[in-house]
Amino acid sequence: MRDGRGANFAQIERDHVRTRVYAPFEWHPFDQFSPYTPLGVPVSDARVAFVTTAGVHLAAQPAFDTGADAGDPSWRAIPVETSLIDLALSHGGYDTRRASADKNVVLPLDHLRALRDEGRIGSLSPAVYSFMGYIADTDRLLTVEGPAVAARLMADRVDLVLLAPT
Amino acid sequence: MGLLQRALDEAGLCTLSITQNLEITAIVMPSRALYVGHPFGLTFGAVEDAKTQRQVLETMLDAAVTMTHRGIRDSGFEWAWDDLRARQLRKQGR
Repeated sequence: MRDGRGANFAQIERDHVRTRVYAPFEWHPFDQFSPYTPLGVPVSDARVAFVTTAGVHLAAQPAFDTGADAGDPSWRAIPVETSLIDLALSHGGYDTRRASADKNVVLPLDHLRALRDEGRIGSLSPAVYSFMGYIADTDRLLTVEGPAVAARLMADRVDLVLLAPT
Repeated sequence: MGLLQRALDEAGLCTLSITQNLEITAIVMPSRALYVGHPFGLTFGAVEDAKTQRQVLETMLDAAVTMTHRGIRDSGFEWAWDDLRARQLRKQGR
């Protein structure tokens, strides 16, 4: 696997955040992979959920706080049948103009719905859960917001959660 | 993304994520991640490249079935359109 081509991006990103945005920032390291739960049904029978950190929200919902030095750990629930034209993007970490022109590049809702309609996926969860990926202070994400979304996904009775960053 | 995935893993959910950076994922260690070498903000491919967008999504679905252990898998997707990803990794582009 090729990645930073010699540069350690984790170190570069850490130094960038600490120097320019949030001085206390440090990665939250772990020494073991988190638990793995196997998919219990074929994909064609599975209820699939999608979670994004691309800063996607309904145009009618509050934007994410892109000005907070410590980041914004809040999340938005977006009905899965939402038209892409009704979505907005707020994220300070990447140039959202590209994704605004074709939101499938970060939230491939058109493709997810097509895969469901073709029977490749059993069904989709009622909502997509969306975060904004710049969260330098992770305490609230780990103790409140992450578990809250986990509870929603459990209530949605999903079989598989796909997560995509930005 | 990795920390959020960990929270879902701890709840007993079956998860599969995309990672666009191996070093960060190696620190956070979520259960299962698929490496996609696309720029930040173009996770599934280029604007209007519906073919690649769908292929990345289908590769996620395949990995959700065939990755039967924890770790990171290389999807083989790399970015050849321009130097955006390389500049992003140097913090010289958004």
